[in-house]
Amino acid sequence: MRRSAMIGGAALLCIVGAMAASAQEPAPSGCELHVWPSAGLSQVRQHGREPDPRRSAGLIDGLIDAEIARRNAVKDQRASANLAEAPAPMAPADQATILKSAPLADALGLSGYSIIVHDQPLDTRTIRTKTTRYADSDARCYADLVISDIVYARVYAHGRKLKAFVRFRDFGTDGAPVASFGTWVETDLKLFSIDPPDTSPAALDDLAAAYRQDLAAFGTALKANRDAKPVHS
Amino acid sequence: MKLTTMGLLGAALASFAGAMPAAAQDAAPCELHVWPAERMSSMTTGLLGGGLIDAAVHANKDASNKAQMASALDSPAQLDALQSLDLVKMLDLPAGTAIIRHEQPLERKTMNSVKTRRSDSSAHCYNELIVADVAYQKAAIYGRSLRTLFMLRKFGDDQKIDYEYKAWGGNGLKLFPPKEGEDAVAAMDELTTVFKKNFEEYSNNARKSMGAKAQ
Repeated sequence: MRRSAMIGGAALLCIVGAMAASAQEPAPSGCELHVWPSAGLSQVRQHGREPDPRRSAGLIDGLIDAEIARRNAVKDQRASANLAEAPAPMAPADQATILKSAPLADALGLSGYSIIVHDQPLDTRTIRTKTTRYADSDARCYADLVISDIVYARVYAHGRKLKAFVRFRDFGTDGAPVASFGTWVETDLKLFSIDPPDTSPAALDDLAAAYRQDLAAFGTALKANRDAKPVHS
Repeated sequence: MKLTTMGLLGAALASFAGAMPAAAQDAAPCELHVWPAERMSSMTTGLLGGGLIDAAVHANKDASNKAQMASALDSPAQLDALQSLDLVKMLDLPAGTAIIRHEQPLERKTMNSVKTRRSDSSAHCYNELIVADVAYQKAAIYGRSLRTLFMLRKFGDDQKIDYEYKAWGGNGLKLFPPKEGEDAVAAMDELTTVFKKNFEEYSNNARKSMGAKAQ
């Protein structure tokens, strides 16, 4: 019975695995770009006054820092609660939809590559530690693009932004990356907000537009990096 | 015959190996529970020396730094970094102390107020290592550094803290934060390296403190 359940589970995993990624038509070049969305939207706030970590002693300084930390914590918790109550903005499936329609091959200078977008994010330990191909692919040439983090940032005197950390690795025809590049990009948000919350359809469109803009900005940064430091000889 | 003997020997070894984890548990009644930090902070002060105008100038950079720290030092990364070190030796705990990871950070505001065990373990020998804060700072005079606030609490076999040591470890940064548009991976990896160095500094001071208390 238990074994049957395990076999059933294994079969289900295979099906899920097959469903988890969607690809365009196989490219004649036999080259693949695998793309993963992030786990979801996180948030960061930068306040006008932050407790000073250098101050470790002194009654007055301690009291001031404690009060600043308390006030900031109330605002942070309110924002976290708003984010938790929002209908999962930028869930992996939403990101995958955007990624499938984005001109990634052109943006990354990989024309002719078949794009495979995975629906489920990679876990952070895999991203940090795995130095071989993330996908179980034996494509002749291979590259991967990971949206590692997307962060809603509310910044004192700077407004709201969507920050994204994107990692790219190009394996060419090798087993190890011949080039890798990861950087942070950001786009101003005009409508979307979690403090106060605005997750109206127009605000979610604004968030999706910022996500697409972040992808484009990453492509620009990658190109600038390649131009400054040619990796393909 | 030879095969039978080897088979029996193999079976005996397998039984022994199977019995090992339980035996190891009996022999290692001590536990060290480890929690990662929830709170990341970044404070950049320029020649204005702080205040709202200085904060306004550096706020976006500080927000980016916080996001990068939260990414490079998320809970699994902090715990992996600490577990890559010999925590038992560095904190002068009894050999064989079991390390128990807690993936969810503790609520920062309860860090000092809760004086009992933070887990429901009833181990006779129980210790806690809590990462309380991870703070980046850049100042005109001091340069860039990552500071980490650690707290060690030893309980013995009850709910009362027998020994507590809370202190910062701090070291300079060479790569973090990365410049806009440049490759950020090495700079973010540096955070993990310095996080471990901070713990080494903390644990050295903790052992000195424990030694002084024992005398």
